[in-house]
Amino acid sequence: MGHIQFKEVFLRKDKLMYTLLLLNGGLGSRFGGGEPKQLVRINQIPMFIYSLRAALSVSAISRIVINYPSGWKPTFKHLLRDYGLLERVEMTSAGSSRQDSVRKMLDYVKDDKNQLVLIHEAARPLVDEADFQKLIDFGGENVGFSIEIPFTVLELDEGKSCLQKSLDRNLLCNVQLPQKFNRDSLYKAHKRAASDNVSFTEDASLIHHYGEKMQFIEGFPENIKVTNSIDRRIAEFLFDEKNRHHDE
Amino acid sequence: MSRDEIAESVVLITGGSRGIGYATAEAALNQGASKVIIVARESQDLLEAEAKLKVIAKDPKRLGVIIADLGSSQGPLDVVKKLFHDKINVDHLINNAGYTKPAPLFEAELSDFKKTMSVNVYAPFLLLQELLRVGNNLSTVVNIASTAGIQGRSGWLTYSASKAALIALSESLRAELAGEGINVVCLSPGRCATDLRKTLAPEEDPNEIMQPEQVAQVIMMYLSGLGRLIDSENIVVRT
Repeated sequence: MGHIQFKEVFLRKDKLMYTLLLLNGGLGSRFGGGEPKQLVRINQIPMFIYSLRAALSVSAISRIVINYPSGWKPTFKHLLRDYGLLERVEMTSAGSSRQDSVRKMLDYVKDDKNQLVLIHEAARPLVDEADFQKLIDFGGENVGFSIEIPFTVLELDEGKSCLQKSLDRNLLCNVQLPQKFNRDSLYKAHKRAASDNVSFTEDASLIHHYGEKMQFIEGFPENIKVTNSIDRRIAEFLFDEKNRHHDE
Repeated sequence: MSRDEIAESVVLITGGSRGIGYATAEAALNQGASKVIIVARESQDLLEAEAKLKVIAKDPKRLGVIIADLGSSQGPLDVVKKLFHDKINVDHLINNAGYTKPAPLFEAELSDFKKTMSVNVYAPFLLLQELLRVGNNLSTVVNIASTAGIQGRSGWLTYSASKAALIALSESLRAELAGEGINVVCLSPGRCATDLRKTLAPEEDPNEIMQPEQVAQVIMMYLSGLGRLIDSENIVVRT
């Protein structure tokens, strides 16, 4: 006690350590204002900071890589410095798509001694230490969070005008991040997807496509994805509620 | 992890050479803090405080003294630089250093007002910001405001304004740092027998008002696990 940890990380030999890849490279925004949505402020604090803070409190995460959208490095670097996080995370540039970004980040950490990676997205700022820990504590190598879909989803034809197929809601799930993966398996799958020129909206589908087992555990409904101003207001409410509980 | 207790914790106290700051340093050492660091300008008071605290500390490693001028914008940054260099993680930050030069509106100098704001408002802000930026895990911040920040009096405008600012700053910090697990406490002592009080009310008999040791006991309660149970806004301490 009394001695600061600063940049040191306690590496325990008996414990598997993880690398977190934080997807922060999107340029799209439904908020307007011409800024990537990761910069949108929740209770005045940039959205992407929350996920980093949560990850930094997880002792099994020993390395954090965050990407940034092309042209936005100075902005993110400046904010990381302001929040005292610059020395604690590594920055890398985003790819041309989400999938390309993940592949680039996996390439960046491919020689790391951490065999397991966690993938999270900055647009889910309500993730907390317990979410990461639940994923880490669950036995499997490729594991994600899912929650129930409370509404009906249908498959339309290509013209999006006629019903093609009804889907059994009981078999569907809402996929949440973070997810954890065996790094080499995911990297291999990504390289194959790149050479096959196929794309997926997230990594569970991708790794499953190439024959790996992907497991799901129950996620947390509060871990919402913030993509527009209504989500942002809900997130602020949830944070206020969480802080009140913290106090209590 | 930061600590919710006094025993085995590191306590940083600004303005630790006299008054409430000194009494808090004594109390924290007596209650088993692993280290108490006082920050003050060079003075005879500081030398005497250091000598007395050394006796209480027994082990010289339990006492730290950092000489700094908190009235300058560089002072607080230098304090953190020193702590960082020595690899010391502060658990409890007590922003106690205060300055006043009372003067009525027609006589008040802007330079004095600025100095009052620098010591009483900007220094707590800079110390906290810089500590967190370098990765210090903090458990508690105690800002020593004043009842003068709630109710002004003729001639106290610069001091009252600075303490009102500190109270409001503390409220904002409480909301902002709640998710980080940092407990922000704002205490507003009423009339307390300190040198600063002598400047504000030279005619008063210091024996008839609250003693610094009493305020120090309230601070100790906030540094203990008990402090977390109190959902405090600005807390007035007076006899």
